[in-house]
Amino acid sequence: MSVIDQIPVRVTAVKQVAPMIKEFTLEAIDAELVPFSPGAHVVVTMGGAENEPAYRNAYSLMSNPQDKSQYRIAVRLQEDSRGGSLYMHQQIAVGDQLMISPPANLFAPDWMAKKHVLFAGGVGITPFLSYLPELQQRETEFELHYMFRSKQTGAYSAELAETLDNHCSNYDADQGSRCDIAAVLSEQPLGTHFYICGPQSLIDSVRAIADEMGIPASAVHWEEFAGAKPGQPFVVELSRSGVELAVSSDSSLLETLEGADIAIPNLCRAGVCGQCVCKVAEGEVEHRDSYLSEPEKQSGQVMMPCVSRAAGERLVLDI
Amino acid sequence: MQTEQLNGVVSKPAYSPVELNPKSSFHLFIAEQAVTGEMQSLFDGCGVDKESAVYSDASDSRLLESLAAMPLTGTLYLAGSEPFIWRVASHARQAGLRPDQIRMMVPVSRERHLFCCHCYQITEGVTYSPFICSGCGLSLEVTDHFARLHSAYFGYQANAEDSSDMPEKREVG
Repeated sequence: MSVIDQIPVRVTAVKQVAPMIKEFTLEAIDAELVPFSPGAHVVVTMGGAENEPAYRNAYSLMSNPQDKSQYRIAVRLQEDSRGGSLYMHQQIAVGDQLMISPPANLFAPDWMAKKHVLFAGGVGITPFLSYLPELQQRETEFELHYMFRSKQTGAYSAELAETLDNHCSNYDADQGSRCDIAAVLSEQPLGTHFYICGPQSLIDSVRAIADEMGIPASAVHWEEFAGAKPGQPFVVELSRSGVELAVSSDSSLLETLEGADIAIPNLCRAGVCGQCVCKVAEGEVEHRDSYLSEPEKQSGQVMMPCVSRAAGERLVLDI
Repeated sequence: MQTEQLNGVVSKPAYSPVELNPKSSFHLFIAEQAVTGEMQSLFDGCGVDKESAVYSDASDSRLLESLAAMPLTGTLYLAGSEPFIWRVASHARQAGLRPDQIRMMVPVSRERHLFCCHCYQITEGVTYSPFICSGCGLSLEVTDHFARLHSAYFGYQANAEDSSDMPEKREVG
């Protein structure tokens, strides 16, 4: 559940690592942190004091998975921020307290792979930073292809180029440098797995090129934590309690339910993990998740409240 | 979203008609003993980048070499008995092939390999249940639980609780 097992942490360092990206170091206040697996993320709860909305966003852990003394996350300021990344950038300072969920992982490396090829776009570098210590320790073959715009993102690119040497290729679009994805994909041996973290456009183009080349779909893995996008306001009715709630255009349905103290299990808050699935009793749904199958979406009987919304003015959930 | 209904045993392999992978850059056809008609027509239906070979031993070193030499964008087609095709598939996965690169034709026989959970011996040529384990001699109930790693079905002593209570013989397939 989203509301139990929360870990209180203190911010012990804040660093501007790119024009639009801040890195936060988090240390446990009253317990030890646990090691995690490469690719894991935490859901950070911020705000929520009196008369202040609470924000919950998922962020990849970018520190060494074995390091129990601290977790580190990097937050990109989203231009169309609904509050979370703006809050992290403007309100959070050293000494502040935050609540985080225990680490969960929807983007772990496949250790059957003979080789790992990583495509990072902008702040999408973060989950791969937790891959690197284990890839190096296992002496597994890998390549990192890191695409960014140095006027906005590009955190850690110099350090990565230095420490990873020829395992890392940097592409700074602001310097006119582009990654030839087809060329990278076409050179890989049997047993290669591909991982993509970045904007939807990067995920879509790598997947399309890989599919066209005949690369098996199950060797391509991706993660996009774009989170909920705004939409039209609507009213949700909960059929079992008769409660009615107004979902504003800036809030997700999940956030609205949480605001009314209705706990819904969730892990990713991005329409990927499937934990928050809700039964729909009435009303049309605008599905925005990548978890439900097409027939399930067509049926109109289930929805993912973390990202999906009502298509009309009203929705009745069977909860 | 996973279905909550589990009808029967889900580990029992289900086979559907095999089609060529049109996006594949290389097609490898492996058959046990003899190329089947279905495999021959698939082989005839694809372009130039293809190879076909027949093996009696799923662990033949030449077979393992040709699996290791497959490109990332290749597809493997398998025909033969169920234990053979799954053993080759297991080697293929070790070589780095993904399950969606491996296409299996309906097995040519209904004979099963049976894994004994008491002595760990695998008994071949099993067509009915209960079946006498070739390792420890117990009468084994032949289940539909299929271990992809061992290419064998799970068997346990059929009359373990009451030695006089032996289930009726039935065919499996």
